[in-house]
Amino acid sequence: MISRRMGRAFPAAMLVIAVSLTGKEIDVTADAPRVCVAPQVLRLTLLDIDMPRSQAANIRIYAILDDGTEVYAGLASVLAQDGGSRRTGNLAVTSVESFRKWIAEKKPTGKLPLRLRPFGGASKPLTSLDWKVRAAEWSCR
Amino acid sequence: MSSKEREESRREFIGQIGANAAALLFPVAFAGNSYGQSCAPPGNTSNPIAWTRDCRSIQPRRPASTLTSSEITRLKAAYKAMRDLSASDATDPRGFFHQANIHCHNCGGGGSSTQVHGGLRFLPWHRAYLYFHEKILGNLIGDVNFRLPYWDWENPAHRKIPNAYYSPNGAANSLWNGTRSMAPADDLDATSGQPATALAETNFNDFSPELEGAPHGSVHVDVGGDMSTFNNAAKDPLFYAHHSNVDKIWSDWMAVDPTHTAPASAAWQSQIQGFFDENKKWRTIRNIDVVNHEANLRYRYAGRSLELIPIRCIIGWDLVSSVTILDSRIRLGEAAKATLRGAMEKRQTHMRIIAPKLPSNKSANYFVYHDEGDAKANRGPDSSSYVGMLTVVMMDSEGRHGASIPKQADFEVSRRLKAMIDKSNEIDLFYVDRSDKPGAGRVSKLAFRSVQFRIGKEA
Repeated sequence: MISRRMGRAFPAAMLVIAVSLTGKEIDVTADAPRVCVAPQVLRLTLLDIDMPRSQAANIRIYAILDDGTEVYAGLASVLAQDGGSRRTGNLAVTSVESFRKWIAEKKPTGKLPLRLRPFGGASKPLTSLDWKVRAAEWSCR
Repeated sequence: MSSKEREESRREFIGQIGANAAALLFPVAFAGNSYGQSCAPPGNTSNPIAWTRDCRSIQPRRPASTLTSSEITRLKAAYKAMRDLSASDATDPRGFFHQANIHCHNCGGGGSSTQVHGGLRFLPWHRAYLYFHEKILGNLIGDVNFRLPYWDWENPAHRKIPNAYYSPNGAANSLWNGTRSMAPADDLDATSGQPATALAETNFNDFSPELEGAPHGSVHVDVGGDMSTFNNAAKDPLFYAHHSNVDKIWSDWMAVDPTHTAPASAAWQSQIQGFFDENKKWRTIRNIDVVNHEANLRYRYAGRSLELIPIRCIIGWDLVSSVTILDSRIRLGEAAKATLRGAMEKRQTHMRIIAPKLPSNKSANYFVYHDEGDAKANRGPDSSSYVGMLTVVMMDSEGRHGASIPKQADFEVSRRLKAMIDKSNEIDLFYVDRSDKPGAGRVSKLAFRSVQFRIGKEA
């Protein structure tokens, strides 16, 4: 259990499974989101991201279906900053409308694998980015 | 980074955004702490002069890609003059690098007190920054009608960096910056610079962080180089065209719906920003002064890109009638609850508090909750029982002319309706004194004349 491994206490309802890989892409598995009632918006929170301060990144988020199809869910942007080496924190990403519609139509249950793919300037994939994400969770805001 | 440094970095992050719960998990704020920053302060800021009404003619800011050749020539001449000032006198606050340093100083370089990102200062501060920057540029070329262009990146036809900023592609061009990752032929990625999610928000506290997040931040990252770094972003002239578009999207959002308003709190409205003007004088300007940019700052935006984006349009309001008020207690009949439950599915809902009774002996903000426990804990806007904020402003510091207490207040409660009506058929409201004056933190039951629930009718 990730919560035990990380020494954190999370209520069962918030529990997510995370597979944190160090490197270019990170795969995270979270409980599938529920359908948010409009005008609520569906939001993904990436917990305890750890990455270099000097690196700007656009992190594209995709849900991965059983057949390997990727469904684009949203984008988080992080600007670089001088000084220091690493930074940590949480990032919240509001899902795009097309993903919300997909969730409302498919109503996925159980676990939903996510792929976090970082890009730098001119949309170049950051294939050697040294970063981690501990977990992810969906919520309605 | 040691574990101590890491914890310090995290604390700065949390502390910096703690003032605004809406920004708690906001993406760009993630990068915005002040660790290791060293941006010079703006210079001699003694003897500040309050901004006074600008009486120039109202001129349009236009898309950078539609500027005429003479307009491009003027734009380049203005930035060349600004760069020349930096070269001839590094201390001149109107110089290009000094201007860029203002942003650096306010993105963490000056410490958390001057940080304008990741909170509700983001939009008004950048609007004022661009306003003074624009006036300096105009003054340097002797043109009071000079206005900045904007890069309308949400327009599918304008996804490349505007040509003037790359042509010629070298230091002879005052709009050029050699650090960019995007080449002249590159388009922004399809996922970048998409403001639809932000534009769909219905209140400023949600709209501002949404706009600051991916739409604004992703363009910074995609352009790359100086633009992708907080400290250096304003060293690229493209920064100002980019932020002019961010400012335009704020303007569009305000214009499209009368319920889209700037924060009503006295604290936000009276918040002061400082900048050097075209005469090297340190000017202070309040957030409220920049809200109406057309009347006060004398520019408007030519064109509106909202036609590209579907957006909610409220054409009227349905009143939920079976609400009774006894002793300032709201009683919802089953019919009213059913109507409100139906609205939760798809419609915007406002709660209107008519004639709230609040202390009139001081200026203060009051958080309103429908749960006494949450009020006592003062959980803030993230609480499901938070309704909104009421503001009382004294007419003068001595209290001789009384206080301005709102006659009525509308709160957007669509997202909080479920918690409100599931709880009970009877609803009490409580307010928490958010001032720093005697009585601060006190929780009281809110008295009022009546309450209405109104459901938006969309076209």
